[in-house]
Amino acid sequence: MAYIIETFNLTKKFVHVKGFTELLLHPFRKREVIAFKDVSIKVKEGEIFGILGPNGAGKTTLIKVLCTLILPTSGKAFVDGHDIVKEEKEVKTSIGLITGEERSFYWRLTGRQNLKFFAHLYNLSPSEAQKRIDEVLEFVGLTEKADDKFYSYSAGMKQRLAIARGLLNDPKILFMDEPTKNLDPIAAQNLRDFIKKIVKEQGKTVFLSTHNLTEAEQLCDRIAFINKQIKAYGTISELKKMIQDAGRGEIYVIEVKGIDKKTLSRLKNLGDIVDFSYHFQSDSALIEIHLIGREILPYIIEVIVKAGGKVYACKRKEIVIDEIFKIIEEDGRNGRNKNGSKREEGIEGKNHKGEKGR
Amino acid sequence: MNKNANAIVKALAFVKRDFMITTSYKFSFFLQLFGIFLYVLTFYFIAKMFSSASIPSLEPYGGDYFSFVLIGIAFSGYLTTGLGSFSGSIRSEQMMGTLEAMLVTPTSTPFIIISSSLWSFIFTSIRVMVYLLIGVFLFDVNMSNVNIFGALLVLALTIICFSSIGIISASFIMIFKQGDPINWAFSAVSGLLGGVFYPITVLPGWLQNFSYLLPITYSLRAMRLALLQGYSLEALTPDIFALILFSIILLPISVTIFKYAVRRAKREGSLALY
Repeated sequence: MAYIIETFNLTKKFVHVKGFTELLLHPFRKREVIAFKDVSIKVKEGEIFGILGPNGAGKTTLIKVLCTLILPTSGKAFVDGHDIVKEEKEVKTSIGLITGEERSFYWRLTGRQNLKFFAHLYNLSPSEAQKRIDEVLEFVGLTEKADDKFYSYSAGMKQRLAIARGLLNDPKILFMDEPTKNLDPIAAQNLRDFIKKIVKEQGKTVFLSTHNLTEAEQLCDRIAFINKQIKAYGTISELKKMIQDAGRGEIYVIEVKGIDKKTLSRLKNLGDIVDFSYHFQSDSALIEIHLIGREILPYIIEVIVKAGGKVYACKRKEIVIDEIFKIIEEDGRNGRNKNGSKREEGIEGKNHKGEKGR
Repeated sequence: MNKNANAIVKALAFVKRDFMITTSYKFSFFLQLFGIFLYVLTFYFIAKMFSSASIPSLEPYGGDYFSFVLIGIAFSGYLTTGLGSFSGSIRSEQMMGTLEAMLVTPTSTPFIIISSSLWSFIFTSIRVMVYLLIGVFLFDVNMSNVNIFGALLVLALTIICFSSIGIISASFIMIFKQGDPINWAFSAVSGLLGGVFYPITVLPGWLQNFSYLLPITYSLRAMRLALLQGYSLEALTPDIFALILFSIILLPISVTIFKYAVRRAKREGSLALY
């Protein structure tokens, strides 16, 4: 399969900027800060590929490197088949960049004047620019407001104009760097619907960075978790399956009446339990148990019943993206690699809390 | 659309953008033009103090101090623009947040920086015209002998020289963001030694030697001689030759330094930072 974006061990390190004291004490010492390292990903044509990670994980830098705004330190990357270092101009003709940064327009010009200026930078002739501007304005629903000054636009309109600009050169790939960052929940949802529309109607490939997990789950065909390195990537169902297959266990919620705190604390100390929490809701206790394997579940129920508790419900909880992210983050803190292993093992090899005795 | 036509359309798009932004601040626009009138008036009265005296150092330019200084202050505007507009445009685009949006387009970085400065040169030319028109029509400056072609040639070479220094200055801004020694040094030294307010012949001999290292010295002398005395191209040749020499040396140096600065800023990831 041909991939529209491919990276091979792409790494970016920045030179650490010294303070005055450090500059005086160690004028020649050179320290490097890793933005991201050994990033190898493949993005298919026509998909929405999400890059997720906490602040400072390297998402924006990765997008800037792929958009040729920053040179990589090592590794290779190809965008629409073009080398991002050697074929910068060709890469730029294939891409559009949309950021959540509303300052990237001239506030005292109208929306149309802004687009006209950028259309010329994309090498469109005056007549082509005129035609294309009308098309993109219509597509983003800003035709009526096109001749208003940019400063009079709402945050949602500004973001739509940013999308219109990103579409001016009819790019194959749209890079979106936290596009909903400055939007209220309704405007953000509208924009997400809009992104789906772009992919569906115009067949674009979208490379989206976000730290909003719900947004990623709603929009993305595939996701890569990054925190300096790619921790895991695939479709959400693949990631869920990977975690479950890896013996990362399952989460069950048990609703119990008539249980005392002593029994709850006994349950907490049973073996094969990764995580245990509970809270009371009127006269019921809602117990959430993260298990390695469900073989222990009947025993847990038995303990509850023997202690006089009445089980009203026991449901398996679907793993949501937040939990996948949490597990991958925990793996990262425990020094595991992108396959989840402690340096070498796979995510499947995660060593859970040891059995404390049944 | 062929490559050249495309470049012209693009360059005009920059000019149009900056014209629209400048004229959207109407009060500031007219205030600047009115400021020119007040500035000229100040020098008119200074010149009146010694209008009756014969000053030998002004003789080559016709002997009138007001005409001399009018051309000095008008055309030194090109030095200010040449030195400051490239770095200024980078800095203002960085601060407005628009630089990255431009750099992600297929238009090259040098083209963006140069085109972003075009309006500044056009606006400076408008200011120079206003200076000269005020001088000629309100204060009787005599330019009846003007050698227009000579003046335009000197102007073109002046812009190339000053812009080359300005591009070196912009390279500093691209890397260090603030603190540009080139602009600082050239502005200060050119004001003192370049013959803007007084002929360099009033300077001590040893200091005059430093004046000859500055392009503005040749530029202003040739401009005054072409506008006020109507010197022919042949008579202007020494100054024109000096300006050509400065252009030949400074232009490739500035392009090389600028390319290095862009590459370094891209490596450091600081292209759009300020």
